[in-house]
Amino acid sequence: MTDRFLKFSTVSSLLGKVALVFLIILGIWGLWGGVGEERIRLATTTSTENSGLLEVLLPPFEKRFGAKIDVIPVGTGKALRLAAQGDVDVVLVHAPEAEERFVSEGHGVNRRDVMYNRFVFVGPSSDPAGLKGVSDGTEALTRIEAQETLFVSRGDDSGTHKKERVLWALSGVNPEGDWYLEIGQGMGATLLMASQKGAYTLTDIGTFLAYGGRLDLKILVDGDPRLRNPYGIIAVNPARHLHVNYPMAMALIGWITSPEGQEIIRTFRPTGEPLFNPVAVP
Amino acid sequence: MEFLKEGILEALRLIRTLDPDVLSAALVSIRLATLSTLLAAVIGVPIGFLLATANFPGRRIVVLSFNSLLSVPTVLIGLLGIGLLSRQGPLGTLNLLFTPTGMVLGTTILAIPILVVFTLSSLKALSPLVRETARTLGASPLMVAWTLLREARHGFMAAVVAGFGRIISEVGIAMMLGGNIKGFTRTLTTAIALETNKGLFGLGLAMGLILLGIGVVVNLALTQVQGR
Amino acid sequence: MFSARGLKKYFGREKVLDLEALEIPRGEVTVFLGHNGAGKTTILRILSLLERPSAGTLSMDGRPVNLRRNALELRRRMTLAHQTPYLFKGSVFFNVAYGLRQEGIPESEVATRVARALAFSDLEGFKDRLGSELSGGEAQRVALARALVLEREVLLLDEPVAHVDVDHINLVIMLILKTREEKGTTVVVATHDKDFCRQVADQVLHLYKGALVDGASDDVGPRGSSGVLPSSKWSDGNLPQRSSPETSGNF
Repeated sequence: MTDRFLKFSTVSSLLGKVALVFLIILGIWGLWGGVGEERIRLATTTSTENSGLLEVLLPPFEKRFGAKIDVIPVGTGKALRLAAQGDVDVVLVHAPEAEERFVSEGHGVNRRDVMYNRFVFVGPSSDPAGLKGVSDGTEALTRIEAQETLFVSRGDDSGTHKKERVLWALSGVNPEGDWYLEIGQGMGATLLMASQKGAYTLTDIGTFLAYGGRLDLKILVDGDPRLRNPYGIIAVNPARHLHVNYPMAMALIGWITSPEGQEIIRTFRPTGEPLFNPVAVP
Repeated sequence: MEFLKEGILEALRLIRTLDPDVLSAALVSIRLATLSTLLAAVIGVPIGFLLATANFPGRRIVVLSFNSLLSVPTVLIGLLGIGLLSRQGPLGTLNLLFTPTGMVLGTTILAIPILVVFTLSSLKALSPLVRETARTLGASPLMVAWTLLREARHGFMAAVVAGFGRIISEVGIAMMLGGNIKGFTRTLTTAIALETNKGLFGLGLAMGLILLGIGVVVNLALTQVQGR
Repeated sequence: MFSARGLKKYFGREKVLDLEALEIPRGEVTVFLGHNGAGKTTILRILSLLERPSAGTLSMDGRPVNLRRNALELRRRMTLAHQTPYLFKGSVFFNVAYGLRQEGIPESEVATRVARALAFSDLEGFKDRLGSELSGGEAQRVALARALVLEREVLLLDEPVAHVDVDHINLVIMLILKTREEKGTTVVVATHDKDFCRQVADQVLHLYKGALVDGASDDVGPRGSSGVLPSSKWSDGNLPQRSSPETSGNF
């Protein structure tokens, strides 16, 4: 004679066990399934990853070399720190001074210029500081400071932030006061805040275009050669960090600076207009 | 809000088309939360059991510490994790930074106090008669322990649900120790952070809704297993 | 079965039990009679090895009890049903089967023994009911069935009819006498109910403020053991309001 309660409890506890085992297998399979493939780590900036460029630039390389590139999107400052600690194999960033220091301090080797895109000053269409028509980046900052109109700064040690600091230094004025907001956040959050507050800010063109119609901001200053945003790629020094995958890092540098790679960069047009200008092969 | 509607429509579209990026992030999230919760349970439940049943000097301090650890910020665990797992750190040679295993370590540490405290409090809430009744009916010490846990299983299930929820919804550790590597360590939450940064609120919201859905399904599943 | 010398129990500085000598014969029903706070529960807890005495020795079958050596083995010779029993989460069947399963008895035998125990306790049809759905009296009968099904040498019952409804008191009495008769079980009961005591006891031990006292032998029990507490002692202050000694039990 079978007991109904027994049967029920057996079935339900069996179901529970099956579910548990299933979840464990799923977990373990999922986490260690990728082992065996050669992986290299590329630290890059969030804006680079956000642009979508790497999704067309890297797969042909991965296919050709049978390697998987783990792209770690962080701020420029952090990307270089990760590289200095040997936690990644190669970095693709946009902060020329910091990159030079990185190389001269012996953290990285074989730096190559890859491409540039551009920074633009954006602000509300009412344009209280009168930036429209200004073509000089430092002049724009001087006007903003003179009017003390709201300006939102990334304030996060990113490439964009570094560029902004350089421009302030060149303009010879010191941004201080209630009108200057350092928010320590990414480009997207910075643009949003500028839009909400009717403030000016400095942005890379890629992120701005990606936001499209969501922002109440207009491009006001564009075209100053000093507003160029140059990208460099650097291999982590294998003499300092013996474990890094230096040959594969060099292969990646080779691919990105090859005519083929440069052509992919040149023709990458996510919003219809070109975003990056390749510079590796003249 | 315009993007609320957009987000819901986008969520439905992503689910219907089984968008590979979203699917991969969802799977990473589920795996991460499942594995970490299990590990945290394996470690946390015995600790909670010990704290509830044994008496030793310093017990109160240990309990207090676990209670305080409930509210530890995830970025703090992330920072500690980076300090430990970075190439320059003491565990650097294991090469665990920016791997799923690294994330699992961090989120397991996050969930252990939850499992400990819930187990402890649910056992404390039991009548002392549970242990006595089991003993008078001839249960061995191991079976007494099992019976206590069985009687406290609602609390235990609540602990698992809470731990799972905390892990699957956190961003800091996954971002810092996982590195947000697409298809490898990108979870739903780190993907949301990224999409939001891109201004793709709809996509971010869509993934947020999927995250919510996972939470609901897990809760339902565990309630089902828990039975009466 | 049990014998004890100089058994004392303190809770903090308060002495709750002080027994110079105690003998509980094998195969008989021994009743500790006394009112709340007399130490009945404490002595049952010591006999069932849930509580260690603060002083004194307890022997089983002439051998001193050593909990360090073979606690589980000793505990499995006896079982205790609490006054307000704890029923494990799950069905009545799960509860009654619990002890049998601890001993690794095959499921088919568990099922038949549980069914029989439930039938004896007038709990047929209860096996799928949840413990949490039962009334206090039903729960107490489940606890009795849960203890009886084990067929242990010693059965310890703390106020076994405290919550049982009037209709089932005779059933409990019958079950106690039956297990003594048929299995030779040593039964130790703690109760304040003199009526109930008289119907089951082979030996009555009066507890008052933690000590054994003599009672008037004509007051309790057909077997004429020690009798009931002097009424002066019953009337001192701590009396339970509902069952004053003048009205409960004696006519």
